[in-house]
Amino acid sequence: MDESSPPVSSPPSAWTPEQVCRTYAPRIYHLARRMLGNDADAEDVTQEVLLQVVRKLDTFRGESALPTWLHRVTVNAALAHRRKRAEREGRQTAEPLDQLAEDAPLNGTVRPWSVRPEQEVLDHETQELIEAAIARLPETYRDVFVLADVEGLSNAEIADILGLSVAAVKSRLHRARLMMRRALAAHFEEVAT
Amino acid sequence: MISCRELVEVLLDFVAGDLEPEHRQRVEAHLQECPPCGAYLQTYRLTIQLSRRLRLTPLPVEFEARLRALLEQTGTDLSSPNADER
Repeated sequence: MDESSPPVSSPPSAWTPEQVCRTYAPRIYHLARRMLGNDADAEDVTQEVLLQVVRKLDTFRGESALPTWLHRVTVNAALAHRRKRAEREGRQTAEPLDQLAEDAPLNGTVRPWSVRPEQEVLDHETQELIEAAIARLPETYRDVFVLADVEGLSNAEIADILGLSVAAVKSRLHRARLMMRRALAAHFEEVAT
Repeated sequence: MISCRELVEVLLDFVAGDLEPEHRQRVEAHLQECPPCGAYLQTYRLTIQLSRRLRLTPLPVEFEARLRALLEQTGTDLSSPNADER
């Protein structure tokens, strides 16, 4: 069984805290860390969410409801954490939108990338590059990008979780992808020979 | 034919297969005539594909130990006879 797969032999209500931790802690931690951008905040959110899971296990009749609920609770906990941090630091949480100036292909200098999509497992350097690029996204775009392109949620699910329209999710996701593409291009573009 | 700027603005719907057939054909016609936009589309797709391959690395060891201890304690507390009174 994959480390991140839920135990298939029993319903969530029969799981031990150990099984809950092994199955869901990495997913919750990485989602929170990617949204919040630091380890300490991610640890706080993971602890808070897993305690909720253990306390509510009896209410989950099947495994299918749990991952959906976990995404929602983790995102809400991360957003609340971010708001508290912003209040402490005396700043706004949301950055202004539409800061992105259009770039290539309008200037005609797009080059292929020296990475192959078929590689099954990302090497350490590529993984770190992508994680760093995500961390540099403005929060407004980062949340949608992580939920869509890392977690694989649909636009409708993201709209529901974040309280946005589907059109707003698509707009932010597109901007986030353009920013990510530009950030990764600096590393992956093949040098012209 | 659509412009390069218009093509960039519809890439999300194009790669999701959500464009109307007529609009899709106009995008495909542009791609055939514009190699930079073809390369741009390829790297836009790569950005998505690579991000979906990110792995879940192990939790920091100290944090995992602390978390397991906390959850074990919480599970024990919840299963004790006096749990409902708390």
